[in-house]
Amino acid sequence: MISEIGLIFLILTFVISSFSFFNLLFVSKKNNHTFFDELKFSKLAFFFTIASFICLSYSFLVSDFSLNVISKNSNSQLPLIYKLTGVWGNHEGSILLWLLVMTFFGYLFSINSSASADFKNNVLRIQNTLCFLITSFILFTSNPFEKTFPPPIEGADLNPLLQDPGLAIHPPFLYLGYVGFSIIYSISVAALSEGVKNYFIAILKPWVFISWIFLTCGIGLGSWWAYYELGWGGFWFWDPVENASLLPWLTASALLHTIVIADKKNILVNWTILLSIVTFILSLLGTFLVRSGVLVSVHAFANDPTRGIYILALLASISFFGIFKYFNNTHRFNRPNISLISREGMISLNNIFMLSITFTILIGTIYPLFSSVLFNSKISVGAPFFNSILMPIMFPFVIGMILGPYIKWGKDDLILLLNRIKVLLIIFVLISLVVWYLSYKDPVLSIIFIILGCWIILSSVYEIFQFVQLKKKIPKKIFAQVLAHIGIGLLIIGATGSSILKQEKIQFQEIGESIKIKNFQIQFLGVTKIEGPNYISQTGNFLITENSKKLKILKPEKRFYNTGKQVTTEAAIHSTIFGDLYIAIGDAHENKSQWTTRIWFNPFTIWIWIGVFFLAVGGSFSFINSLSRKR
Amino acid sequence: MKYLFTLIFLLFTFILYEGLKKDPRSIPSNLISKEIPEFSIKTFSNSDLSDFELKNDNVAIINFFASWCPPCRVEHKQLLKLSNDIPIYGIAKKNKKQDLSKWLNELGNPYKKIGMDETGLLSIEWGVYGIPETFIVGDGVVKYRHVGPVMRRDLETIKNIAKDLQ
Repeated sequence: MISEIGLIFLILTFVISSFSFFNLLFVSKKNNHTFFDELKFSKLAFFFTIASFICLSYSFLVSDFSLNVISKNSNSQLPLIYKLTGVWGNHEGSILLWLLVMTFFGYLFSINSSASADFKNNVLRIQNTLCFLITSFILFTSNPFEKTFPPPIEGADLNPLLQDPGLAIHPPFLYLGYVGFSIIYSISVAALSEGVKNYFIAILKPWVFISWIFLTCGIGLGSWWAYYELGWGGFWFWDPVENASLLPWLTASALLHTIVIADKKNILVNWTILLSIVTFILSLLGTFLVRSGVLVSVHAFANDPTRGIYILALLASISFFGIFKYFNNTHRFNRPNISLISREGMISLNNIFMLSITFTILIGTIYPLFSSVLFNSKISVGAPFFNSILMPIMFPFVIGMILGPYIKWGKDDLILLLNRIKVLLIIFVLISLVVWYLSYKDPVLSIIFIILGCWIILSSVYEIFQFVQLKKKIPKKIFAQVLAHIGIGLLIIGATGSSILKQEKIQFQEIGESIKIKNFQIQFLGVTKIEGPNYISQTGNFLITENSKKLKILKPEKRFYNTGKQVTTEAAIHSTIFGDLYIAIGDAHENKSQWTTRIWFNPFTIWIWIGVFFLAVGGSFSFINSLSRKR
Repeated sequence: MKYLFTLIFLLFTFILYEGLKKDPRSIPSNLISKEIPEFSIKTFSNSDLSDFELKNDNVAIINFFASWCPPCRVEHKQLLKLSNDIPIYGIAKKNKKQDLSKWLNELGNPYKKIGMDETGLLSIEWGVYGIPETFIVGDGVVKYRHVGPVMRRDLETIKNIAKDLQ
């Protein structure tokens, strides 16, 4: 019964949003608010979608196995929380969540934005049209309310890998980011129809920041989950699905830099609009790659060609519409005169690098597809490609990042600039020597990257220090920039540590045997069998001693899920600021006296997560700043 | 500019559309219908194994594996079955001898000979990107490649190919 109500609500969303669609296609640009009140449509679409989503969640909670998705992706034994998160642990439900977020952003825009009523109407018409397209996708190809007959007594199970708090919150965050870009797209395209004015940038700004923050958190959470759940000892694998989420993040990061100049100097406005459109297109491309299964990925989603074709049609029409609007409606601004040694120049440089990185990753991600279609040859592009191309780009990128904030707007002089930051340069030399002294035995590349990371952090801290020295109040936007840059510095250090410097030991470890890695002695005490709510776990016990001082017992697990007959690894991690000791346990050998164990020491990994946190907090400051400026 | 964009756009859409029809999981090998690469390595029992020996066999299976790889454990049973009909040469990738001997004692030995690929170089020459991988060689020419563990459902295919070659 509840599920029928959910379906009815979904159909209502379809009907309401179809008005906007036809309005966009057939009705002239001049608005007719009396009938086509898009603000109302947005509100209604949001309420209908959330009602529908609640119905689906309820059906999951009560384990209504007459619904196809629930019988395939849930189970009555599941802990309550995973019954709920199971709603988006499958294709149908997750697309409904996508729609929910999309209508939610439409709703937020309708009640919050400072834009004029006319402009709001235009934006929401596009936003609602996007909702219409997604709703029809749901109804025609992936209806979560589809029945199965006869209803099974027990459901299959939620994929055990997804039964984890990290993954429970990862998709909503990711979607808030991905789909948040839809409103940016709508604003940009609407702005194009009206003839671009600087005024739109201020409206656009908060939405860029908020979506970027969510996407940052979403990617961070996903990476963190992969790190402790997959048991592979890494945090990033250059998997197509990971790359797909990184692409819009990169263009959005470029966007949040240009939008500052566009807002302040009224230059690069067209570019800002184009970036906004491209960012959303890349989000959709990501969705296409993930959902259609055209690329091999660790995210083994079902491969359904009809869905793929539908998403491709969506992707093509939305990109075409956006880009053509752009080509037809941009009017030329005076060609801006940007000198390289100026804040504008540095931000443009940042954009060039960001887009080069985006392009590199895009090519690497879809090249296997191209080569299989065009040359009929299968290749796979992996970490070596990405590392070898991206590493050299990092050097000028980081230098720009360090100098940028110290360079004046308009025009600046390099010599004067270096003179202004001479104290900082001395600090740079000192810290480089310290890092060199501490790690001269490590690979050169790792030393260089750690030094670069330190430089970014120190230069950011020095910025704040200058304000403190002059007893000036630190502006929010400077604070935001400093935090975000520190975040990047920490990320670089963390990523370097856990990739170049990581140590790995894989062996059959006998009970009682000790393995040495770094300063740690890891003694294997044996395996105990523990029963969880819906799984049986073989928990290894490892006594960790550091410099002959007993630290703690680490308990990596191998879990056997009862229903799906699936096995998952739960790594045990001892985190310190210098690095993570990471243990995963494999199979038993020789009457269970020996077990395969994988032991890693991943230096500085914790700084990756702290870096992501800094990025998110920095973004939040920018967001608050952009709101307060508007009023 | 507009036309260029339209062209790129159409090409992109076309390729993505075509890509939908392909199964990304099927992985052919560049080696198929080529002679096997030349090599010579030490075996588990301290003798030698080279491409020459493989060419002597009418049909042979080359199986890249390691004792530390869980999917290899999964396929082991099927290999034991296959070894009754077809000679199987194992290539143990980055494997310690003592680990391997324990593994064989526990699970049984389906291999005619086991080459010790200590550096992993031989696996690279064969284009192996993840173990286990299995190749069927007939008269010194690579006929078939199977990526991932050999499961019960794969036995038919492998046996049929081998039968055709014999």
